[in-house]
Amino acid sequence: MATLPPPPGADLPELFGSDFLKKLEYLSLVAKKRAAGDRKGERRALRKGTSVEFADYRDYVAGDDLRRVDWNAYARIDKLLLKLFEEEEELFVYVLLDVSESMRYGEPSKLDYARKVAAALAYVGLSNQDRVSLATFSSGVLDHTGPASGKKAIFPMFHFLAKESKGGRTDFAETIKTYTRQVKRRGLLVLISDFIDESGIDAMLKNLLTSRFEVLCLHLYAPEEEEPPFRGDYRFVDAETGEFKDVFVTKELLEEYKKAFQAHGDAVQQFCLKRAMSYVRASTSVDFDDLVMKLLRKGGFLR
Amino acid sequence: MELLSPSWLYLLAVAAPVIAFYLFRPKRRERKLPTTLFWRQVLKERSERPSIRRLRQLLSLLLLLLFLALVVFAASKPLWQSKENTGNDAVIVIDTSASMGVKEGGSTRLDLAKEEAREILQGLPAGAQAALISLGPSPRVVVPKTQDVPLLLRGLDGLTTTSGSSQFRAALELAADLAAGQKPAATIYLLSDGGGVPETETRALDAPVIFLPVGEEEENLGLTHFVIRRHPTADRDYEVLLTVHNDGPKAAVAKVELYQDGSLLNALPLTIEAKGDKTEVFTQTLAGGGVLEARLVNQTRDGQDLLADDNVAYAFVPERPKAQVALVSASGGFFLKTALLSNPAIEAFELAPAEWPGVTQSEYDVVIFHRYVPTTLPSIPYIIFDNEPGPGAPLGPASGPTSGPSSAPTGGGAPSGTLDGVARGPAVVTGEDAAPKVGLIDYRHPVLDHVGLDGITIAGARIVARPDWGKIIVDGQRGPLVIAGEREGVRAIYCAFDPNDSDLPFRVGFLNFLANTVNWLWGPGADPADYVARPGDRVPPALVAGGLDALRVRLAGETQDAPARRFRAERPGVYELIENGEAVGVFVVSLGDPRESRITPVKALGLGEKPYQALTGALAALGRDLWWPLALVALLFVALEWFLYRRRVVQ
Repeated sequence: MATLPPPPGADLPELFGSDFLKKLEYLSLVAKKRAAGDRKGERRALRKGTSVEFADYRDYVAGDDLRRVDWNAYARIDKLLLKLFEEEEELFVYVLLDVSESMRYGEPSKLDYARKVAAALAYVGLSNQDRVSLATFSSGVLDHTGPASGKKAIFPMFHFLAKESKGGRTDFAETIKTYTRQVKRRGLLVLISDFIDESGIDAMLKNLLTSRFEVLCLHLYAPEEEEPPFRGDYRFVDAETGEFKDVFVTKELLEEYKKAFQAHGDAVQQFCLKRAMSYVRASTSVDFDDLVMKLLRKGGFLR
Repeated sequence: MELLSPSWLYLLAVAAPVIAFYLFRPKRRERKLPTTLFWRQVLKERSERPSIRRLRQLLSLLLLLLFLALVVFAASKPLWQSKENTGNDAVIVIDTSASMGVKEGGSTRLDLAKEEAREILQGLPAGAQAALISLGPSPRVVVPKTQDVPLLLRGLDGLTTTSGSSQFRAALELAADLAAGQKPAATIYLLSDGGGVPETETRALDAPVIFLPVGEEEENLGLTHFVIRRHPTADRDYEVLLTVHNDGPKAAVAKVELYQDGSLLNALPLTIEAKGDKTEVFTQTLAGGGVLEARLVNQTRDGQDLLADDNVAYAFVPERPKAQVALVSASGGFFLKTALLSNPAIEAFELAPAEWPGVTQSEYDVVIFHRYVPTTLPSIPYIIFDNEPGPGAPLGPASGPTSGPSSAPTGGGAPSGTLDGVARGPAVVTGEDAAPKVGLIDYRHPVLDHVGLDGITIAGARIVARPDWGKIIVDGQRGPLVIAGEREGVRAIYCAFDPNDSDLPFRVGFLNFLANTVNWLWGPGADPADYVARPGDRVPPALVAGGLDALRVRLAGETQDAPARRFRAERPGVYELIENGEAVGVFVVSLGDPRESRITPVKALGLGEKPYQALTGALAALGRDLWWPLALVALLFVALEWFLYRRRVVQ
């Protein structure tokens, strides 16, 4: 498989190095469900098609392509049978990226990290002739790209991801509800977020249950969230709501915070696993190469 | 408790800006978080009460105020011991007695005391006065009251230990006089190990006394007594009394070596119980006079001892000349003459009774009358061996005891009375006993020491009336046989029988009897105690009967001498009296003080109505100069508090 040369003017260095792109080309997305498609892809579809992989016979009817008649069978049993082949179709991959205010926390920020992951997933999809669509959301779907395939489509996607978004407050329920209605073709839905939503886990993800998408959840968090570097008297301001809370951080209080934070992550994971969704939690301190090459593979994203 | 520098309490005003600083404190540090959801969850569970939150916020303020109070309190120099103590002035009394020479880890106790005194002086508030008194055998004001701290420090540096005992009472009364001169009274700082504290109390002191004990060591062996005296009956024998004190917590083994003029005479091994004394009394024969030196060797500590001055003690034995004895005998007195000649301590002279009235009595120390009673009692000590009554010795008239030139004649050849009452010398003879029987014998009398008279046979004796001038040391059935006593200031012995008429000369005790008689009559001679002085004493008075002006004193073996009039002994040793460049006398100086040999520091001084407790550790420091380390510690806490809370370093 040939690697596409970066087009002039593309700001690839910000997101990926060319060496990294090469690695991604050898990976393919794991599709647990077969999906039908209008165009040839590299995945088997339920519909019989024109690939070289034999599937079945059926009787010849007028109008059928005579090139598909099995002449050997006709010679043996004197009956016109048409050879049917597996139809190889493309997969629809939807990457839904959380760009709310809470994603701007950390160094590097969770958002930057998530952008790189989204770009990587898109590139892998495009490399495998999948139809990839990107969308950003916070309180609702903010922007999206139309489904595209082929490596050439990656550059517009890079630019799409690099665009500055306005942030805002997260509303999972509304976002998922809106997006699943807009998208007509079902496929793989990759949800990249910090999963922080005041409405609670059940409320924010319940709309996924009825969406008939295969869902992959990538839960990102900053190391400062897991291990806050605070002692003493502080005023904490909520990035999304603007509300503040005065806290005198003691060692004991900090321990309780860590437990609450861990419990939240565990709750999201439980929700996903119970509903056959894939789930991976990762800190932004994890090396990006490791996450893409190993963590996603472990989580069933890659094979 | 009183404060020496209450003016420092004004520093409490600093609390005002501190509180203001808290009231106008900066806002909390603000941090933007992805969500406050988890903090809200945690705080909701804790549901902290606002009062507790406010209390926690006030904690650092309270700590700061507490530290400020501590600093001010320390700087105001609290004194815990004396209610009367309100003065800033100080009178420093430093013990310079022998026990302050004990080594404590490389420094003497005096060095440690100096160091403490230096801290006190340097910590005096501006304008305060101080005086310095040395507490030794002769307490004296080293530096009178002054504000000149460098002068006081120089006086302090010049102090050295003496070999004498501490005269606490005199020193404290001297200090109290200095301290009471002002109102409020100055504080008396007493720096001592407590060695030599008198058992009697001082008078009530008007000034507060702070006792600052010095030293910790307690292992010491010391010669606390070394006394020598001539044996009462033996001419060359001396009784030695020697006491060794062990102040340590364990029993100790020691050896005392006795030297005479540098030659070893005797050595005594001793084991002394912990905190106990061991006293040895023994007889030591000396060939002549000279300096006796006792050296104590501490064998438990391999000869090393913390206090050297009490490991040696001196005594001086004056040379005793031969006794000049005149024998005035009417019949030769063979046995008496032989016994006198056999005694090397006696030089005997034989005189006829007729010669006696013409002799110069002062040429003789003792006169022995044998079978002869002079008409006039002599002015020198004498013994009369009266003869049995007979033709050659008729009795004189009974005229009572006579003496002096005006007395009636009682001479052997001059009968002067009847048997009913004839004065013969100091005795009154009332009759005669042809076969006297010996009754009670007083063997405790020195004349009869080592003399056995039991079963003695006497052929005849005078019957003598019981005397009013002497003591009957040998009694007979019909009257006293031997009387010893003192008549008109002269020692006299009257023997009612002639030894030739008894078997006494054939007994071994006869020689002792005669030697005892001469010794007792002549007296003990010069007392060794007259030649001993203590550190701090002047020249022994017995040696300078003629006055001190022409005399100088020097330590034996050294060339430096000092006028005897101004002399005060400082070091143990042998001292010579010099007159016109020649040594004319010797005396010795020994420490020999049980109180100085007890080097264990005391915890309280029982000097007044109540004991002065030792002021040690933090209390002592609080009372003096620990205010600035305390202030530093407080400042450190304040800086830490500011660093953590104000600068928000802890995140």
